[in-house]
Amino acid sequence: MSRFVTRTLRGARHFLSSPNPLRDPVFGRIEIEFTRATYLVRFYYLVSAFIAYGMMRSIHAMTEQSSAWVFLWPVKWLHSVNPDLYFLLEVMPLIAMFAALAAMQFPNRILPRVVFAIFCLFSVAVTNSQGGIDHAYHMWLWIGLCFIFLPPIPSTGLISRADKMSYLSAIVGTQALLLLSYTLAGFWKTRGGLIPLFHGELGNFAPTGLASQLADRMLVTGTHPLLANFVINNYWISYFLFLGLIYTQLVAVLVILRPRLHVVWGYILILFHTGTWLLMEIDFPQHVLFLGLLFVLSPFRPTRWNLPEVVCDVPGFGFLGRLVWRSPAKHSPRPAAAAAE
Amino acid sequence: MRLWPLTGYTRYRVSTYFAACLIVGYLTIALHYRNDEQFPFFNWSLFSYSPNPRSDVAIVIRTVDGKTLPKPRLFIDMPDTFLQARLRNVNVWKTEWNLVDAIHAGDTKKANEYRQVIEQDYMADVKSVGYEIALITYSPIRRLRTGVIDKMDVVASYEKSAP
Repeated sequence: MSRFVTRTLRGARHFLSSPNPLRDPVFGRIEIEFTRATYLVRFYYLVSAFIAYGMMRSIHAMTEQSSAWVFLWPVKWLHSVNPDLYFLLEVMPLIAMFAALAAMQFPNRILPRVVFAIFCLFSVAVTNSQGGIDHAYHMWLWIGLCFIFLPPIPSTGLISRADKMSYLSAIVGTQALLLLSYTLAGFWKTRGGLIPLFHGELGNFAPTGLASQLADRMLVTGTHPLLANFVINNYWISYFLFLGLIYTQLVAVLVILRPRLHVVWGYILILFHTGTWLLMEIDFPQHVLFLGLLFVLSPFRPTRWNLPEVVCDVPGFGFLGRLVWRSPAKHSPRPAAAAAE
Repeated sequence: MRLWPLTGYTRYRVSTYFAACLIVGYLTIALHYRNDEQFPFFNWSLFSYSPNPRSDVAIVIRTVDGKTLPKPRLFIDMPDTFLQARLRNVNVWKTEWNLVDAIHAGDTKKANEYRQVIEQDYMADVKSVGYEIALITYSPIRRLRTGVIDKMDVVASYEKSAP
């Protein structure tokens, strides 16, 4: 069984990896990646404290405005604590905030990370206990849940190569989960385009697909996003952007073992979230944060790369680049300068 | 393979397995409960379909504080009366869908919970309201330009009474 799993994982890794290996030396690379990853984790908890601080205000506002609750399962037990209900609701993000600060300050301790994940789960569940579930905090919470499994760093700072690799594996797992959410979104959009196409109906792959979505969103929410009317009236512009977006989302998870694309996909997805605001008035600030943190500033981003290498790594279309550049690594204009970067 | 304490390459191998299990587990739960979201798992099906014509849910207001409106109006089109319509709170729409799903599933308890949220929280600005939960069918772009709703099927009629 163990051998089967190992082989499957190795096969998946081979399938997902870039055909052009990174030029940074393997041993030195792990050192750099590990150092970046430790700072990334500490920064995550600092921002988590900031987010929990913001949640205190929103939960306080909820307790003042709401009298009926539909508690989600993590906080269902709150139904039975009526007298102290609002006190408990407001104290949850407070504990999450202090746990996040402790996790940032003491990276060698697992307990603060566990406490943060639990109280972040409670706080997010409370903010979603008013009949509808909003997904702004979901992936931020999942990062916290994944980071529980980071191996503790000894206070001496001395850590074996194997432990560094397991630390980095947990980071890769977290990144994969985040990208999986985008791939799922792309999968459903593709499905929503193909099924109507086969039935001869209008769907996502129709030129008016995005325009129709935007019009519907404006009707449902009564919003007037900045660029929505322009895109609805000029839907041919949005058509190609929408197809590009569906592709970017669909293949997102394939980028995971191609670190040269982490920065590119990070920026594209941040642009996508900017677009959802300009076209739909849907904001995902937490997503912009984690995309910046885990992809634009990915610990695995190579120090030496060039444009042909990046193009050759693009899932599905990389072969076109490989037709043009047989050895993309040779096209580095100034390897010495790039190495010094 | 020694399982505890995990050290060296064993820990590395376990973390790799764990990462793979996490992905497979998340995917399984999110897809299995596709139509019944299990927090914090979500299948990320957001704005996946753009059918034309489109069916959606809406709250249709008929009376406010005992006065019958000249013409029934959608909740979202009454920002002067309802704060949550003014705030464009998308949770109102999500709760409407949850209520309709609960009604169709015959889950009276859940339906009552969602109704309480709608009446006590989202309609807190008025003492009494006569309203319907309806499924409406329309062409989004045409409705945005002309306001035309092609079809309206009432799912349930409710009355929020003064306490």
